[in-house]
Amino acid sequence: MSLRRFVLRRALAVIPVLFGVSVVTFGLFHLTPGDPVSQVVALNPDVSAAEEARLRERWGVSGPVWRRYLEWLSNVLVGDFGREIRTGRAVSGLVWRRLPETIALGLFGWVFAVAIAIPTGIYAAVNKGKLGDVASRVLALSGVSLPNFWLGLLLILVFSLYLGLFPVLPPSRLPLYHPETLRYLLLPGVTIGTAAAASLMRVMRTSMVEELNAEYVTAARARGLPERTVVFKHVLRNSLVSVVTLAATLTAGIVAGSVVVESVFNWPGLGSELVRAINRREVNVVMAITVVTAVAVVLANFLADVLYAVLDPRIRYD
Amino acid sequence: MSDDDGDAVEPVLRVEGLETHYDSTEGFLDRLLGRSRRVRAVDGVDFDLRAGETLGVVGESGCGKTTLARSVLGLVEPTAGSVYHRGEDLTALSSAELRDRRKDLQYVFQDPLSSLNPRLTAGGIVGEPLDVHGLAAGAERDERVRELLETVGLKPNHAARYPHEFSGGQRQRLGIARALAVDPEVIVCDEPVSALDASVQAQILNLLSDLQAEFGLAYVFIAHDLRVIEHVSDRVAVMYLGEFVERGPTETVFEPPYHPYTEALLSAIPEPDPLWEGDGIRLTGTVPSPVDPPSGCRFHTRCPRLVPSAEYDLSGETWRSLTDLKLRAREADGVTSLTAARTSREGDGSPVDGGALDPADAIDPAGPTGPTEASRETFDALVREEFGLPDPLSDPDAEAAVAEAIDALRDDRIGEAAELLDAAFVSPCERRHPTEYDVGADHGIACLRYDGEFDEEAGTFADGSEPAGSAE
Amino acid sequence: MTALLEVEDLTVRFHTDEGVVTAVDDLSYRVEAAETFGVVGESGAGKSVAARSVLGLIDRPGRIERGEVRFKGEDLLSMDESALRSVRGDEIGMVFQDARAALNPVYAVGEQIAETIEHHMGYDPAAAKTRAIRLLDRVGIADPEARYSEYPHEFSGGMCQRATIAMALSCEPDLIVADEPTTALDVTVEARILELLDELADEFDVAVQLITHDLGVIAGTCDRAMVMYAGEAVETAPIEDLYYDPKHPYTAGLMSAIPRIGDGRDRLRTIPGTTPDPVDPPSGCRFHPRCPFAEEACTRTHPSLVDPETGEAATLDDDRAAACLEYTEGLSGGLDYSVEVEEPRDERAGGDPADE
Ligand code: SF4
Ligand code: SF4
Repeated sequence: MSLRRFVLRRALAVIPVLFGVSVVTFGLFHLTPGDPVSQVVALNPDVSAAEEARLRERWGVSGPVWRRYLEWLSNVLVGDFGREIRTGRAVSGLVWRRLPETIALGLFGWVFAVAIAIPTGIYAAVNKGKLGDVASRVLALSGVSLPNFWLGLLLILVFSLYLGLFPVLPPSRLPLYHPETLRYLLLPGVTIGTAAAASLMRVMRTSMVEELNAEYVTAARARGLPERTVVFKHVLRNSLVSVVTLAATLTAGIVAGSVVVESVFNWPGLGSELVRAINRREVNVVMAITVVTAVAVVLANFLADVLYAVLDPRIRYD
Repeated sequence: MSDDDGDAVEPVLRVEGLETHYDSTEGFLDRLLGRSRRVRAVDGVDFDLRAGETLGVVGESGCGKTTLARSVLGLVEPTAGSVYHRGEDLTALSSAELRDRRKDLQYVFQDPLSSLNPRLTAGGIVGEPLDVHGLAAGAERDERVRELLETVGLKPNHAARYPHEFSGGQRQRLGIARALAVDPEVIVCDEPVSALDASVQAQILNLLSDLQAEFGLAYVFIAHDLRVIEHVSDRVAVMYLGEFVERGPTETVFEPPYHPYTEALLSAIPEPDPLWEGDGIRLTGTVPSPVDPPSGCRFHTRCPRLVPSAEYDLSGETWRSLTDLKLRAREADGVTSLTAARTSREGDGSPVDGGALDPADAIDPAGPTGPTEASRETFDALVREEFGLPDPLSDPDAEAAVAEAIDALRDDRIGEAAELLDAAFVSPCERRHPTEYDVGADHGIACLRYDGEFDEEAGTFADGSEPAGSAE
Repeated sequence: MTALLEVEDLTVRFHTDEGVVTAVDDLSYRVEAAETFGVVGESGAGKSVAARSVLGLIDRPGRIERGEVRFKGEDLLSMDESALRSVRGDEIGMVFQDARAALNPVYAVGEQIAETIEHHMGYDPAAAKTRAIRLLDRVGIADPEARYSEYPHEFSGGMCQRATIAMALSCEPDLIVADEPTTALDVTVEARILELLDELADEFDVAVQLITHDLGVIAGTCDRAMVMYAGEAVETAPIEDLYYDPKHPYTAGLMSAIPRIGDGRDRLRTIPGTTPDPVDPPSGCRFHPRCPFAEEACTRTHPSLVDPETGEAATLDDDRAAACLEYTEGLSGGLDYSVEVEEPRDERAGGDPADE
């Protein structure tokens, strides 16, 4: 099967997944007892039945569930997530404002993780059993076990408060593309990427060690290829296959981690917005963020699948 | 030994029309679009296994031997057909009843290590079937385990060891002891010695034959090594692409008349004798996919004795080459796959050593523009070289048809060329699925060459008349 | 006159958790230019380790402890890595048992052949590709242009082996080390691969060191052969002598253990017991616990390789050598076996050594 056909098939397979995501999200918020209107009603005993009905109409919580779902879905498909209950502003505006912030943070975390994990993993595997390998494995182990809110606080303490190298809080409205932004991204980015870096490094090392023992490596050496070629051309690509598989799973972790990390660093992304919205019972906002992150995770998995197929021709084949 | 008297004993196992197909369809999208891929691993197999005898089943990898072995014992569920044991059809039994039958029917695996639970001691492994079937307990059980270990040539004190502490041969002995524990009637041995060294292999084969004599066991013995099969079997079945193509008493199968496949397998055995000259029959390619097996005789894509059509006056060899050209044209997606890869500067196969491999004078196989740009003669020669076709063919009609097809190829009309060849050259072997023909006592060969209508002299079927094989 | 490859006193040890395994012990042999030299033995005999040592491919926990591997008179073991690398793949090619595993699954087969050519012969990519395609064609792969860019999983086992043979030949080596090249293949494919190797060895004038456990494979292809047992050479002989007049009880036993078609034997002759514990091999002659002719002396004295006629220590140049006390001190019972040549299946001559 050609790569193109493979990608196409995978892309098609994403559709039912996204559909499932929408059902689950909608179900979570609309089948649980206590829709937003009944909460409002509970808070204001004076609301009349007629007013309640009008409210229900307005918030789209009247009628049979399936019709409400279809309505909601068709709105979401055109990017309409409804309105904030308190302010009446469109939720989509809020999401589009916050999303880039979170993406920037997540990407930074990713780049940091990959930049640390891949070289260290290669180094550790090639020098298996030596001091450098042992040291990097100890570090990786601590990286995996550190809770990220704690790591975040630690970093703030050391680098911002004691050393004064980085500002603690981002300035209120610095555009993302501003070069200064990088400085503010550094600490939260490192915080969010550390755990991923550690797991990636461990997988990189393990799969590399395994691949180094494969017969094709002996065969490549028997062909007189320089060690550099053997490691960086032949072994690396094979080892990356298992790394990519893990990377997809880690994306979900990074997304989840952003909630905590954004709150710790007061980063104006979707994560901190989510916390705020939950506190204020802004159902539409919470739903919008849930949908957006779920889509992001699904897309990340799709990308990983494609990358996987690019790296390993056996995947495309069947 | 529970041997009955006389000759007409009911076989311990009778297999009728056994078929095991499975679905290898990938992904739900394919399923949705109805693109199913049925793997016909075992496709209509019959045999009887008599008490105390060994039936050897031999064939290349991919011919369905292992699936057959597993289907017979219900380890995989057959799609159709029956396996009778003591008059009852195993395929109709419930899984509990089937489990009970395992007391009589046992299995020995090729790879003893992966089939032995690594966390059980040898004693535990051999004792497990005793527990499962409630055959012995307590001191009696321990005694029986010791006895079984001794029977297969292990020491009683080996009972406390774990599988990884044994050598390959010893592990296989352990696997045999486990099978023996329930005192079975039939043991299906799936390549039991192919992972073992020659000297150890001989020990295990001798052990199996001793056990057979002692306990009156019947074996279905699956192997790819004809030497082993010949040594252990009373009767032999040769399997190809899910079907038996020849079966009979061992001596008769290993002597002419042969099925062409059996003959080729025999010819390929490396003989431990430096002065031995084989008859050099070589099969090309590997067993085709069981998803969509070849029409007619399934062996026709590789058969060295393919029957030429009586329409032309062509040698068997030329016919084989023509058929190869035809088969390859059907699959080809470019003409380069149908032409010899080098321009024959020095006539035929100039060695690729030294200079000939030097890129300085290396002429790109087809020239920079592809073989279709070559002159008509060159192109024609390239095609004939690739398939070893004489120029011209001895039969003028055949020559005309081939020339037309080659012209079509040169114009890059591959599909058309394939159709031309398909229409012009059809072997009876492609049209008729051979049934099993009796060639001697209890000896059957499924090959059209043994059909009554086949003309030995001419090497073809008399004009027009079609062999009476079953159509497929 | 030095031979193409001379291995002398090679000793390879593996330092494992269970103890030190001497996989190859004091092994000496030679391979002449353009000849096919067989190395036969069962698992644990050390034949694969010996083969890999020739190319310096022994990895931890293994170590080449002693000995020389002289290729064209130069000791490969004392060369530095980069000098050794220029011999590997260029002057000595290697063919593996599991050809599919020996090919990198994520690169096209042809690319891997071209890679070797570019590296050693300095061809530009286009020329290397042309050469690789011709090689694929030469080893009998139909439609080599298309196959060039296919991946190993799209090749059958036999085709993978053909491709690795093309790879081994790609830089016109003088020696190919083939480690059980047909063990994983069906008989029908095996026969074709052996014929191909034979043909190419002739055509390219290349010597082959063929490692196998199958005496049948050796018989059809080799000029001379060496039998190994528990890390040592126990017999070396020109091929016909080895089969018709084996000098070592192990060789004779191995031959009689093979079932042969039409021999009508009910029972196979076996060599009792199993290959010895590599950590703690038997004293004296390592074969003595399994040897039907073993005597008291065999448990004490380690037999060295000698010329069986004269009893003098064998040198690299000797064609015939065996390591059994019979040829030095003499055994009181002698070696009482004989070789019968039968003609079982259609008039075929066959050697069937039988120890009566
Ligand atoms: S039927 Fe035809 S193709 Fe099949 S085995 Fe016989 S001769 Fe060969
Ligand atoms: S030395 Fe003794 S034990 Fe060894 S092979 Fe000769 S007779 Fe047998």
